[in-house]
Amino acid sequence: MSAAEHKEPKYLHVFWALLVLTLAEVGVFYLHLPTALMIICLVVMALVKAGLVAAYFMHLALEKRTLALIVVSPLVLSAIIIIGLTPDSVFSYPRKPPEHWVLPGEEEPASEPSVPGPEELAPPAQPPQQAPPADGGPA
Amino acid sequence: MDHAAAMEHPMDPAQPSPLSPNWGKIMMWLFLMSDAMSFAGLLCAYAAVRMSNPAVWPVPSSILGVPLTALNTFILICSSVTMVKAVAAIQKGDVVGLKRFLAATMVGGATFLGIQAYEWTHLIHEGLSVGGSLFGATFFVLTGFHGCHVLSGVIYLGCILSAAARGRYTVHNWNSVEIVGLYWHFVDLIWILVFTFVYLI
Repeated sequence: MSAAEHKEPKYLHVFWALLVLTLAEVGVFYLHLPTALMIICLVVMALVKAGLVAAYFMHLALEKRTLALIVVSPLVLSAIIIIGLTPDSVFSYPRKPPEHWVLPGEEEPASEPSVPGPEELAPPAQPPQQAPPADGGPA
Repeated sequence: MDHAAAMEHPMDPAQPSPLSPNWGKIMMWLFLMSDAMSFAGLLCAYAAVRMSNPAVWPVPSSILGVPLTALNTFILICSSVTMVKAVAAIQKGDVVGLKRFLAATMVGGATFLGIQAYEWTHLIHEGLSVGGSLFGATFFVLTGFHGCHVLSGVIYLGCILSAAARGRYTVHNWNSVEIVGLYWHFVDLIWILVFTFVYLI
């Protein structure tokens, strides 16, 4: 391309932009906007600041385009993974464990099935998972 | 022939910073990307733990001091500016300027660490702890992991400064200075995100 190193960016302009955005962030924080609006404003400003630092302080905008591709592509992929996993990992996070789970410190319900009697032993072909739901009520 | 000439002077600032001879820089970028994944994991863990436990999550600013941390953010941004000034100085062959700006950058990083140590002491005295609450666990792990990066960065800058004091860097040889700059700016970049996600939101 060109002699990129010698096109020195206006570092002080970047500094003022970062300073103004930081003050704006703190300002938005103290404005007590509705939560969703505040989060959107703060995230957008933080990403702009991070982009300014990467592009100008770290010279990403002045390097060969290949380096920017190397740097940005894994971040895009990780963002896709994060967004894709958010519904499972956050929003439908189980508040209570399923009833047939044995938690540490609890009684083992598996000891109870021996009580009903020997006639229960007749169909042993069934998988053992069948036993706990029958006993789930008293637990 | 042109390529061979470029290989003879891989640090020549007249060269257009091609990717291939500058392995140091691209390796630092790859390290920073893997580090970014670590921080992404920690930030996502923070978000997931927080959003799935809204009943026990405090308003962060009721515990943390936003004005002091905003000042800390400002100090770290200033130290990034002195870092770019250090790189710009040695690119012009100004070794004295390089040493001054590197020292200023170290002072900025050390000040950041000092304020963070003060903040941690205050919070621990108020009863916040890693084992005491989910908020404390995620807060200390995130800011502590970043603080370790700042500490490593100050030590790394000290190594570069001592090499500069021994006259290692010239107008033709400043690659290591630019690489330590990449690391330092990355630490600043991460703090911008941590400040927003942990302190403000």
